[in-house]
Amino acid sequence: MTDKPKATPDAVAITAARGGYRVDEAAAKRIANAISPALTNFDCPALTLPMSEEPSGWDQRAKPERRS
Amino acid sequence: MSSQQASDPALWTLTEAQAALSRKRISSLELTKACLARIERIAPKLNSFLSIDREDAFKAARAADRARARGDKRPLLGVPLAHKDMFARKGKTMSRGGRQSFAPDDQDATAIARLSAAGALHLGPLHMNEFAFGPTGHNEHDGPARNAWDVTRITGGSSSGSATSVAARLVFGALGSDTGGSVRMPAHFCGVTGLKTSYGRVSRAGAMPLSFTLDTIGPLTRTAEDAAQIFSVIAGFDPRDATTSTSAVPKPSAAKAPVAGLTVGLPDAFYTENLDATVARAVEEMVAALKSLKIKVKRVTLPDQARVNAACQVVIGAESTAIHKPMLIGSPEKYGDQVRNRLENGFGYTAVEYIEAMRFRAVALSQHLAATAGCAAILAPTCPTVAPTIEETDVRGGGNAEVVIQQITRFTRAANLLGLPALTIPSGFSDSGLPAGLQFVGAPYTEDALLAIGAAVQRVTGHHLRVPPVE
Repeated sequence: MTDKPKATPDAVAITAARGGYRVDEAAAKRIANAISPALTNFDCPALTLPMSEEPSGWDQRAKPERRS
Repeated sequence: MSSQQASDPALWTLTEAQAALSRKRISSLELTKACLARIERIAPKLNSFLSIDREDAFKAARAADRARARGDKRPLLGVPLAHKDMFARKGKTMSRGGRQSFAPDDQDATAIARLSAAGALHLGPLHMNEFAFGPTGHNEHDGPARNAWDVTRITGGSSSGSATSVAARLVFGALGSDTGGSVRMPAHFCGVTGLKTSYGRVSRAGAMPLSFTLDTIGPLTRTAEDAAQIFSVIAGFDPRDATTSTSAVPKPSAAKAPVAGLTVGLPDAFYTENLDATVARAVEEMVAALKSLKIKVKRVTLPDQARVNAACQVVIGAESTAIHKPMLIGSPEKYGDQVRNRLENGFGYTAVEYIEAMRFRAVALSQHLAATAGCAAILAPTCPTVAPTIEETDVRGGGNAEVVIQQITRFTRAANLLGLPALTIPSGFSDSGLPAGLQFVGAPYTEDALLAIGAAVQRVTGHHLRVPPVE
């Protein structure tokens, strides 16, 4: 797993503001610390649709044969 | 059945209660009175019931007895249950574990409606973590739920009231929800059986959402056989929930299927790390029990579980925040500190990060299924330790809350990200009498195999029969 740049308080504050939510400096720092461990490269194949891999997995309930 | 269990019907399993009712050895009214007497005596010590629907329960019990006298043979006719307070019930307010009451819905949640149609009674709403967003059973508004084995210990969450009520023999079964471990975690800490269903197996219509591509609903019961009874009633396609599958639903008899010759995989890393002595011993003893049942046990190497957990954190973070955004912006004071802070975290993820985590799910499942090929299930701890104290895990909105929560749930989140079913069963006790539960995790839509393995194990072990000393 390759490391990605972690979240910074400034980036968090901007992203939150674009989501319609204002955070102060302390909150932005806390959020950056909380989410950074989850920010990793997931190494998904390029130029494929999200659900094109087989088996389609967690979304298998959406396959036509599983629907009435 | 012990002599104490024979004398107090509330101590029966759901399956035993069903048999006694169908043979007319007991009426539903008598069974309901036995449960309510126990609830009134014990529930306040556990903070497990938010309220008790005493009169409604008596009315429904009498109706069940009249129906049985007319020849009604519905599977759960007259069996008292209670559920986490996140399922809509027509005309009844619901707290969802929050500070305020939410207005009544105009119809029951599908899972509740199916249980009612099968004849079950509902004794009252149960404690839960605020908005099901926490793994410990703390609740800043309602106070913590307390573990029936030791009331200074956590129940686990978020189906806290469900687990401790079933453990204390207050009801024969309870619904919970599992988005990151919320059925299995409290099942582990409270010594009961908990079934996390495959994604799409049980309708979420009328149930409070937390993370719409991770949420699942499942039963907490005393035995795997009991879980099969409830599962067979609530599962199946529902036009009110477009994510539900039309695949066939296993019958309760699935729990009695033969298991000899099956293979169970034992992960060689990640799920072996930092286990306390009780959990480590439970794994060893479970392997011996499986072998005694002629189930083969083989080592498996799973894909990087840390990355699977990371993806789950991104998905639940982004989805829960999107669901709560209007209330979070409009009425932030209605949240406890921990849940508000965790919901705020979701604003930090970008759209690309969320989509990458979502795309990774299919890749990760493909890798998982390849690594576990030939296995009916994998065996793993549900949590590395037995229940810690309420005090030591009371992190509230502290800066380390997310880290603590991610650590507690690191063995359960993979099944949610990958949509897999998982069954936690009582698997051992610490020297001080605290339970430990191990989970069997299967491929999508293989609840039948998990229930068969769980029931077979419970025929050769006695952990599920122990009753907590909470009187």
